[in-house]
Amino acid sequence: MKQVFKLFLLLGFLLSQQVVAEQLQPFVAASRVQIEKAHQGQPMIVAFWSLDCNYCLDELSTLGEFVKQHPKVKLVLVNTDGLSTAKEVVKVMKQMRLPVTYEAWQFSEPDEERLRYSVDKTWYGELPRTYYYSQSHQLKAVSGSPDLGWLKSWASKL
Amino acid sequence: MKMIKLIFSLALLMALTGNAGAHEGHDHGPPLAVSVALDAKGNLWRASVKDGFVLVDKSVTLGSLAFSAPQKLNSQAQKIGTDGDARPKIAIAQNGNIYVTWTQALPTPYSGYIWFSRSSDGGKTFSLPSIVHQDRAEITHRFDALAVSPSGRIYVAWVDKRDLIAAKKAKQVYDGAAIYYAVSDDQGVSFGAEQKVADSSCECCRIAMLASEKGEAVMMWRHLFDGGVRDHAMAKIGVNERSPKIHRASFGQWKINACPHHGPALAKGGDWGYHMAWFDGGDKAGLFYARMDGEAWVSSPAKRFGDANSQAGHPALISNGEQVWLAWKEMTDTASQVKLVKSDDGGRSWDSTVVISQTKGKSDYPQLLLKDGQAYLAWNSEIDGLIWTKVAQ
Repeated sequence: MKQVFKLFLLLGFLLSQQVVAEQLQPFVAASRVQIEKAHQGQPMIVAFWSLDCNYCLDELSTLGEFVKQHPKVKLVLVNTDGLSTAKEVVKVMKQMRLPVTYEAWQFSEPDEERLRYSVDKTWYGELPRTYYYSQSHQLKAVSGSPDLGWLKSWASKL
Repeated sequence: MKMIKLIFSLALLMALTGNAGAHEGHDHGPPLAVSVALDAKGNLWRASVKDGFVLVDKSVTLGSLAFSAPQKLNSQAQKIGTDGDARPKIAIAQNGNIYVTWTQALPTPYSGYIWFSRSSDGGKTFSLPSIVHQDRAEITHRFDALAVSPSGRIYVAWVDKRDLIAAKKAKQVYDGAAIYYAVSDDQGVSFGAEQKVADSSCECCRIAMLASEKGEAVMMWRHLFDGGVRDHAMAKIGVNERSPKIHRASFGQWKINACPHHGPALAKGGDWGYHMAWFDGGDKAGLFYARMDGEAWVSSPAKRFGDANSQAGHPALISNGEQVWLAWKEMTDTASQVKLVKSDDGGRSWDSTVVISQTKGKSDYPQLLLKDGQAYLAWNSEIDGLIWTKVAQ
């Protein structure tokens, strides 16, 4: 009995560790501004990704390693797949095992195209799509996998 | 007592953890990604997806649309591709046969099977679906394209990753995916073994395909050229083709390691070649049109259409002799619109842009069809349903 209880405790502990990183927050039209305000004065990377994008997981692991080396950078992941995929998204995020804590959001409006438009009118749906905020929140938008040289030079100015 | 409390709080914790998936099951209605085709009598046939089933229904096109009770094509629910550039396809042969394809997503990420079903009794009944390709590995076979020639030959093309996987096993470099196709010469009873059109296609964009009177097919797709440039390529598949030649069709130089989810459109030109429309991202982002000479395989300079800041994209093309219509989708702050331009001289010059339809709420990509020499827009929307409207001359 005691051992079973211990196991139960351990299980609970493990699960509680994951809940912080992997609970999805609903991303709606106002969320971009909300995220920017919440992390004002802090460098930040906001990465949009999808289960269906085979470049995205590599990108997220690159960003995870990068943020590990630059801990003052806040990492925010936004999945664009829409609500019906929440379970799968959580599963994939768990499997990714990023070495840092991050915020996880998911597109949560019925019209995902419009939501994308409200985030950025010059984003045409290509993924990965990533926004790099300097400390003063000077913004650089990047489509596609990040160029490691560029990432390094961006970090050197932080 | 203490122990009970502890167990309680642990249980609560577990319940909370499970909550991450609590959004699951919210229903925003069936996917808007549909395909439509006209039969010889002018009926509009529609392929759509609902609750894991491919549905086919039809409507008369005189007056407002009124669809028949839909038929289910697959007997067991599947996860069917309706995101981005994926949608079920429908094509109608000159003899009235109706053909439908779709992509079933399999558990392995990015993997899928291309399914096919046919009706040889004018849509009264459909055959038990079958998988088009002989390769049954749980890998990418996705983004099906479907075309039937006036002679009755059926082409199904798709994006396929077997060569990427083979290259990985052999520790060789392989960029992108491949374009494969299969042909049926017996009205869809069976398909021949699949053939490769090209290596190194984009992984996630629709293929545009036409089938000619002679039974040949022409395909256009986003390709991965040297240095990761995602411009477009075209190939013509002869009736007994084994190794089709690949021609570069666009020169936007969009270099990107990303999924654009944005494939091209293609229409037949006069006897000189083809009309092409596509989207390019990057610094020069926007929607483009060009003519492709079908003998010399040289394309005209790309002409820009639409407002890139309003997300101009997802083009549709239709032609009738030297008349060409090009439609695309744009966003405004409150609605989405379909804009259109028309040319009377085979795409050399164009009338000014007009807004031909608009809807609030979610909407699909526009499709153009030809009925009695006239262009029609078919555009599925959340609020206004399937919009079907004759395009002004």
